[in-house]
Amino acid sequence: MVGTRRRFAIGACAAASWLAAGRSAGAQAAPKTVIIGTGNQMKPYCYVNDDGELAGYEIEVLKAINAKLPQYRFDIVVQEFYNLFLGLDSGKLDVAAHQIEKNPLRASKYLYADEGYTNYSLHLVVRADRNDIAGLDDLKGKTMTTGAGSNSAYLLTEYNKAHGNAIRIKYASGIEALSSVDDIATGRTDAVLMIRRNVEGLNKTFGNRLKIVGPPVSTSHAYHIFRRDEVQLKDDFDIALRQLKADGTLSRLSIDILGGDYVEQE
Amino acid sequence: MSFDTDFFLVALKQAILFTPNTLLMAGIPLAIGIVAGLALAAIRVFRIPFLAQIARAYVVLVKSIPLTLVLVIVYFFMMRAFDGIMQSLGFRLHEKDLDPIWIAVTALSFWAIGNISEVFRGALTSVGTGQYEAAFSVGLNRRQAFFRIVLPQALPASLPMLCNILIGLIKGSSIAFLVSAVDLLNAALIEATGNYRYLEAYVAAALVYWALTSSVEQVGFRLERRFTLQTKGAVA
Amino acid sequence: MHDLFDPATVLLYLPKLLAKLPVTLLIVLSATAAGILFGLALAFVRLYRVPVLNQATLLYISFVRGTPIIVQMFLVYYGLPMLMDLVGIDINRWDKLFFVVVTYGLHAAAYYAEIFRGAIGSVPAGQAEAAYSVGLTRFQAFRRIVAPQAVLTAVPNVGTAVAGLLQDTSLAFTIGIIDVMGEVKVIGGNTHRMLEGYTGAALIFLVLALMLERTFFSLETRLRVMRHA
Repeated sequence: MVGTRRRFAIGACAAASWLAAGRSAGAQAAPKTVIIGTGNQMKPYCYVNDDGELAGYEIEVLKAINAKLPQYRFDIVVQEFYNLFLGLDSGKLDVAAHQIEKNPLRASKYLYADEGYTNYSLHLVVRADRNDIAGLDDLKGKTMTTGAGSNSAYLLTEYNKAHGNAIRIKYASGIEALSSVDDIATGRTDAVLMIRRNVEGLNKTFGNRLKIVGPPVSTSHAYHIFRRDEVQLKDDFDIALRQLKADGTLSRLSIDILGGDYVEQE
Repeated sequence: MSFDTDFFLVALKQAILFTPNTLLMAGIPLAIGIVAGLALAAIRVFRIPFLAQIARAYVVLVKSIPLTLVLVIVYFFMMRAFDGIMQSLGFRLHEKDLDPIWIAVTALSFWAIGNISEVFRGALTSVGTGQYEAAFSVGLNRRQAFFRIVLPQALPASLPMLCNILIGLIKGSSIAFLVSAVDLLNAALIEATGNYRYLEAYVAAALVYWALTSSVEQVGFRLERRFTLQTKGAVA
Repeated sequence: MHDLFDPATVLLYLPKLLAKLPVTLLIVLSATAAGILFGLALAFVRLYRVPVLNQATLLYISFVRGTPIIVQMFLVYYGLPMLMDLVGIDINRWDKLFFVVVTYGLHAAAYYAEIFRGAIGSVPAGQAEAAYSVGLTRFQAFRRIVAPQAVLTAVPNVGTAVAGLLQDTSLAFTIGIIDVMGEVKVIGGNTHRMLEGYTGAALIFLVLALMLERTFFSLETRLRVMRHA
């Protein structure tokens, strides 16, 4: 059938040209989807608000970054904290945003943004009425609580390696993760590592039961982290973050949501 | 993502090291469950007024609420009420000294009591009434009939099912991570905290669990064969 | 601050928890459906002792019934994409729910395989033989004679298996599924109140389990009546 063959040929040409047009236009047309992992258990950085929406500092910062990077479409998903790293490993996530601190082990596996977006210095925190602890060395034989996969866990484990397992590390999980004040108040745990902001916040809510002792155990910023091969994405994030710092957006978000300007080093 | 065999072995070693904890979390509830479960089953089979209703309600509750939730609720109440209870009992134990493993044991015991009582209830009712009648006819009272005639028949018949319950307890003990008790799974996972190699840790833990449950399963098969043959012979 | 427990809050949280009930039910129903289909296939492999597959099935059933479900969930969530990678298919971006249903489906299939094997095996061989002797094909004999009898034996155990699966879904939240249990954690992250949420969840599970028991009981009764009619 000549007619059918000709129609087929015309159809094929049309399809081919449509595809060709699509390929060249595609670069500008559809934004690239970027899957970003965060948590929902760390108020006010990432949590679910009363309306059932994911909210918090992380979300707002990501929204601000996305506004500066229209070539991407951010898709924010929720994971347990340690699953964020696994997500990056396995390719389930492109970026992780959960107040992630920098340490050598993580830096060897993942790509860190150059621009940090919150300061994150860990202090040693004990019950307000205790005077027997002034630093990590005083915690020999005592207990500290930390979270699985967290930088505190890494720091304490490294400390133990260098000091013959002096500190007893308890890994809080699931149910207990929110009871740090309880733990310290009752003596179930002797100390935790926490950022100043959290200490101040908890003291405000629960009465002044906690105090910081000694110099900061670690000084770091919180960064977004990427898979090692996502260099372009990381560079774009850095550009956006620098802009947001320059025009004061980050500081404003920090004051609004975190109660103070915690963007730069304290 | 690749599979880090070296770390896998490290995690495996940790898991095996902490297997006794898992066995503790499975064994103690089993023992408690057998004693208390038998009592509950007897109460229900003999329809002791009022107590039988409570027993039934308990079993229904335990069988409907997931172990995870039982554990969580036990955890919260123990955390809050422990000090008070210990003081009133006159013990000098404090809640902060309480190893979370005992919270898991408590929760698993509640679960075990409920499920084991069902096993015993089935076994007790499967012993024909003829046995009771025969016992009474030779002058035994109810208590003697129960302990000397019925129970010796019901217990062996329950053994295979008890093996299943033990397997359930071994698997159930894995929820220890929720209260940060260190069992074999948690031990392997803690090893992975630094390098995030959780997949290898889970595989290592899986193999240990499989080894444990397979052994119990084999014991169960042997018991089943032995005791089924016996009852069949008796009936004939 | 240390308020032990506020019963009123439980009622407050219930609507939020119930809103996530469809997720729990979706998981249970899809996993059960998948589990029954796959389990049936496995049962036949076991019944007819298909070489190689039979051994593989035995290993599979032993592994699934012998390892905790948390472990299986993790293995599927991270391991399955790795396997699929070998064949060149990238399933890493698929919805978490998919992995959860696969996990519970595979888990359920192992139990259903044994249930069906037992049920079909319990139908006396004479029934099938009698069916062949009056000219029915193997398939017809199975569908009309063996299956109905097997179903009656299987139903109570299927009920137990579904109830068990319902309870097992209480661990889906560990990989981030927002079902009833997941919602409890979410509420906890927002309000720092966890016990009330967990109590609410316990109530929901209790009611579901009772409804399930009721359903299967009446199903059993009806089937028995149908058979003897």
